[in-house]
Amino acid sequence: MATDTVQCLLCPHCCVIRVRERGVCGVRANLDGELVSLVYGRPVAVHVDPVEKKPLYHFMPGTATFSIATAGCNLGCRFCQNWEISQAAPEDVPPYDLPPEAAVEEALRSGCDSIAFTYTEPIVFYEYMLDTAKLAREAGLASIMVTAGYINEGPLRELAQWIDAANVDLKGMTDAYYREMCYGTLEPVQRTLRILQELGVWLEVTNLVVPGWNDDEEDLRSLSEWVAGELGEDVPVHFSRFMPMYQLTELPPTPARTLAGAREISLEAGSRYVYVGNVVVENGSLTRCHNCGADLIRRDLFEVTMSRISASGHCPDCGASIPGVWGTGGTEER
Amino acid sequence: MRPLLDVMLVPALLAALAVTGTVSHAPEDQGPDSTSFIDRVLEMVREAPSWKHPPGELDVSLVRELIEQGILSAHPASWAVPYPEERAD
Repeated sequence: MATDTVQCLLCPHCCVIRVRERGVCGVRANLDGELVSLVYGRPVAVHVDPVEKKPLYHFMPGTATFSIATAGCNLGCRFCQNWEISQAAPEDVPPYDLPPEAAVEEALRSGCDSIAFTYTEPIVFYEYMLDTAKLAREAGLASIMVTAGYINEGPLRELAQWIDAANVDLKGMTDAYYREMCYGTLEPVQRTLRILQELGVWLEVTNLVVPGWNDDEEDLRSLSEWVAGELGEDVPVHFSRFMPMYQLTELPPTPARTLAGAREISLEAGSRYVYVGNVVVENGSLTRCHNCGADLIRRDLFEVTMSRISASGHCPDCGASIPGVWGTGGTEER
Repeated sequence: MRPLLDVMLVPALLAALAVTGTVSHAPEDQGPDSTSFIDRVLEMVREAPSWKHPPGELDVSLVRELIEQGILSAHPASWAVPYPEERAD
């Protein structure tokens, strides 16, 4: 016999939610026996960003993406860079009224080529993201998901049909790290990465390197070998610098040499495109042809300052096919 | 609701800082003491109580008011199933 208690099967927490309660994400609530999203069409952050900021370096480079986020997150990373909104209840953060139709209209009006679901954890605004992505495709816009990947398989497979690119934050390579630092577990994230790749979503991986937590050589090698071995050499990897934030304000920022070392380890492990973010490291944001070593895309922070990849995605010097989605960009120097 | 951090972790960090005498962010690329500094911070964090809210109570009257005002939505959520009574208890 059923009661008014419901179970949310969206993410691996599988919250059992009684009437007048909400899930771990803070935004899915049981009102009178019905589970509702409190944040559908109610983003708290709306910006036009370069796609490089997501970061996506091999997906429509140099284009702008209409970026939205609601309150809430189903994880609780102690280092969260957007914790003021990700760990907030929706009633505590004034939102915009931006239903899916309006989000698409605004994206087009802003000259964007895509919509990015980002900043917090888009999985918690699943229905809003899904409906917006469907409309975006009709309008000729790509959809980007920037996520920690903590979602169950069924919802992910339904959603992924409408997502063109994803940057998945692989936070560490041990379950203990996920449990201690992130209020989650590792295996569902690995499954998400495999499924997104299986379904043809363009995939890039980010790892935030946190001093003292996941920055020793063994950690970095384990992660790098898993990415190169499981996902393949063509999946770009971004090692991102930790800045003191949220519950770890007394840790130092990640030293640049640690990030440069992580990049070397990942290249050794077989990944062909490895980048460093949030800090300037030599060649850390440079795309080089894996075949001949020619410089293909140079970036200054989030700005593309030079791009030589052909519209069909080939190196102009040796003709090698460069993995990515290159859109309408052509060979040009800027 | 606000994270438990506000009431639990910050005082723990501040108390530890009082012991170490450190009052500002540790500089990047620190010298030989950096490892012990990081270890101390990590120890504090590990000893801190769980920080993420479990499924929590809702101020239903407030939420309903915000829904009526159009500030929050009440959009049907997918991927939800009834939970059997015998298991709910």
